[in-house]
Amino acid sequence: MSVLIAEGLTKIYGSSKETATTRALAGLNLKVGKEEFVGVMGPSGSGKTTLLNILATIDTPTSGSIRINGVSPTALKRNELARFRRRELGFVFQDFNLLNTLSVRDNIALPLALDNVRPSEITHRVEGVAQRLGISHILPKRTYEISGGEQQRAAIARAIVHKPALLLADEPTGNLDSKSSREVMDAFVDLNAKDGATILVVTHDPFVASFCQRIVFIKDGKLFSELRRKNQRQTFFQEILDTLSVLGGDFSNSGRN
Amino acid sequence: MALLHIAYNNVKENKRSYVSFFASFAFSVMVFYIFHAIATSPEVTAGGYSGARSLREGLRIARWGIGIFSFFFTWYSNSVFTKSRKRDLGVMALVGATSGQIHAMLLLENLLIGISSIVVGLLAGALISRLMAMATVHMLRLDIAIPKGLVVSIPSMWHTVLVYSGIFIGISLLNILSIRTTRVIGLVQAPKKPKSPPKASILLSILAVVCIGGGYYTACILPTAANVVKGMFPVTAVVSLGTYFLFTQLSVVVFRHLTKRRGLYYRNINLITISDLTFQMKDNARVLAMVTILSAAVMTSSGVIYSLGQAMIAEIDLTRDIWFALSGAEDGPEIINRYQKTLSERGARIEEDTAAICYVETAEIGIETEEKIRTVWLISEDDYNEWARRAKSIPVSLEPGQAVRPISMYPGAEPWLDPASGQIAQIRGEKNTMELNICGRVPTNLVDLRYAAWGSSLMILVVHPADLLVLSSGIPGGYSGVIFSCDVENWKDVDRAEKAAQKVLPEGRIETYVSRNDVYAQVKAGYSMAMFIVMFMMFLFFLASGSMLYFRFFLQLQEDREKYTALRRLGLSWREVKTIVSREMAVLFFAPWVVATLHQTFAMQSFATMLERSVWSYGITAALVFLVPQTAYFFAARSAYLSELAPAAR
Repeated sequence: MSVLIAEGLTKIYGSSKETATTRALAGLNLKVGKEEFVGVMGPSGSGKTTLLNILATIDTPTSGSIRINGVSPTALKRNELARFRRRELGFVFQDFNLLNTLSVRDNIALPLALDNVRPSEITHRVEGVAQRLGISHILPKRTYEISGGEQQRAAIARAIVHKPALLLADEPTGNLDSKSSREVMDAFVDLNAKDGATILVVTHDPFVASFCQRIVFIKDGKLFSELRRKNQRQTFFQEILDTLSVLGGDFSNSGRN
Repeated sequence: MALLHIAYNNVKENKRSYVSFFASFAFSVMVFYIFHAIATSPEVTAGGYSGARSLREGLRIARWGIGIFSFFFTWYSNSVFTKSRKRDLGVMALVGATSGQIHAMLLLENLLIGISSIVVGLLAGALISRLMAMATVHMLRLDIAIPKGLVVSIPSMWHTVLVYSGIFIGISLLNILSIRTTRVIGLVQAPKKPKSPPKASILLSILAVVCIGGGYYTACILPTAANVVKGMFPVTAVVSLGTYFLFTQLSVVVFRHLTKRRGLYYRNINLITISDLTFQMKDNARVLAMVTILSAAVMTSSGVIYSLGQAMIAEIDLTRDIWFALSGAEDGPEIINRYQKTLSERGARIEEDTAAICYVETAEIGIETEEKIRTVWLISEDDYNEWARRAKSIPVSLEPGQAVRPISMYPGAEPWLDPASGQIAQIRGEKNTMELNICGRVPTNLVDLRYAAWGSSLMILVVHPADLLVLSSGIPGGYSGVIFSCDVENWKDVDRAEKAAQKVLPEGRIETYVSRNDVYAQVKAGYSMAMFIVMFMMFLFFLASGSMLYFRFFLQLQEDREKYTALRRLGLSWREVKTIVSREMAVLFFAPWVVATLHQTFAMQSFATMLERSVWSYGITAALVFLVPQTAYFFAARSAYLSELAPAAR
């Protein structure tokens, strides 16, 4: 069963009256199965960000359909959409987006509080997920007191604490050093393998991508090719590099996009 | 000219933050001009009415207050602006603008705003002061022609321009020179430093409660007017200190405590609101404390002026509608008869049982504690009691050598007589001089000395008939004048009849003439004028304090945009964003009002002790009137801020 089915996604910026229209997505098809760990790669301007925004239900496609866990978000009203987002989706951002007015514990509790879960239940679940990600000891701390890797793991905890159907990550290691990147990616792999979390990561970075099971390459808003991991991560990494050299575009800056 | 162009664009670019500053500054220019124009206008300088001098004095103090307030307000807003622009300035410095160019650009921007707000303020001031002049002339029924068209008082204009350009240029220079170009460059790349959670001291929070509680308690128990006057300054100082700690310490302690109450804190958006407010209260504590203290002061003074005005109007009703004194006792009754007849013929309905004549003897009086020798009107005890009997007023009972002063009636006025605590006065009649013991007072509604032309220097004494006989050279019935007073049923509509009847009275023999109608108009005009001034102060003050809070919000706009974009991805709906912003803004906008209303309630309680009457309703009215502009500003600021957030968070 597929958690995400996107068919013929097209996004055109600029109204039809204007001469300069940009086609960010051009009939993209994408399917993500349950408990799958998928990476999306593509050069700058390939439509990655647009795709992510549409999957995040923040943007709407010009044409094409999208179903997440059987629901079509385009059919929902704005407030229903917000509720849908906070129940079915989890987000991990490049710059963590933790609120620095809140402690780590409160940051993780936020999605549950917004969904009016009972306070005792919230405490219980926050502690559970923190233990799962090995960040129990930093729960009472403030966001600026902890390292980047810890911040990102706290953000992951926040993204999964409400058990979303789909976890979306946007360059999750973009702001991290290699050691922290590894910790974060291990956390994703672990969540996927042990808890059966469905994860979609958008990235520039072949190293990050090599942790996924399957990689979708997009170029000019369309599917370019697909790569499945069969064996060792190191071999997969090499295969990714080969595909990227065919794909072209700039991948040297693996940090910011 | 390129620099001017950039400056102009910058103003346009930042118009949302500039507009509130512009409005507040223009408004204070307007009020300053109006106050100066009123104080120097013919309606006031010509001494059209009795309150003119105190009005001028009040306006002068108010002008000073506005000037000082404008200075601090401008200083504050200007430094906030410059802070919010540091990034832009850094970029300019990076691309090679010299510090001289950056300073010149900022100065130009400030001048653009300053000059335009002064011009707009003066125009609005000219318009409104004209409306006010028309209102004053109408209320006082003065015969002054108001020139047609918009007339600008040139001296007032220069005065205003001088003061405000001084404030503006001085502060701009101060602020601009404080920017160091080298440091600004660093700010461009410097990562945002996250704020550490606010700390607050429990001890100082307790001190806040003790200060405010102690001040309130003292305000309630001060027993007499003299105590209230003496206690006013220390109590105000202590409560102000308490207010400062209330916002800087106690508020943080309270909000931090709320974050520990999971049941409340983990409920929906409370998590965001409460934690944000912990920071915002601390960040804005000084502004909030200052706004609260000033609001309390302005609210209290408007409450005091309002209740004083109401009290004065109420007291006017307690005395006769018309009273006057004539010199010459022989034909006095005859003239008064003619006067009454004319009055009746012109439609005045005199209440017969209130119309009464009383004979007086004029003498000179010197009181041991006072240096001046004054004129005194002596009334015989018999005459006074007869008069009082007819008017259903309070009679007196005297021994020879004693004298009693009739005083104006007010609610709860009690007569009083105590020979032991009297004042000895030298009375010099035609030939004889004698000492009398002024040892009491009696409230009367027959005459009202408060509104007599020579006011406080006039003295009336009720004396024993035997003493009067001695002073009037032994001639029985040897009086030198008469006092007449009466009520008129339709007193509000007899203005013309009264003017006509006054012509019957021989010129040069009218010692004093008081008509309730005139008094009423004057008291009302003076009171309306005072209310006008207070209202203007209040609006000015609210506009400015609202703007200061508004600036604070715009300073954090960029941060908030990022925050709400992230929260939106977490599934926060736009409706919830609106609720969060509204709640946070509401707390900041209304917290000062709530605390100030409390302060004002206790201050009015003290004032009630002083006035010996209840003024609760006036205080509540003043607080509610205050709430209106505050609420309006809140909604305007809220929608402006939300429309700035909408693109990022909707």
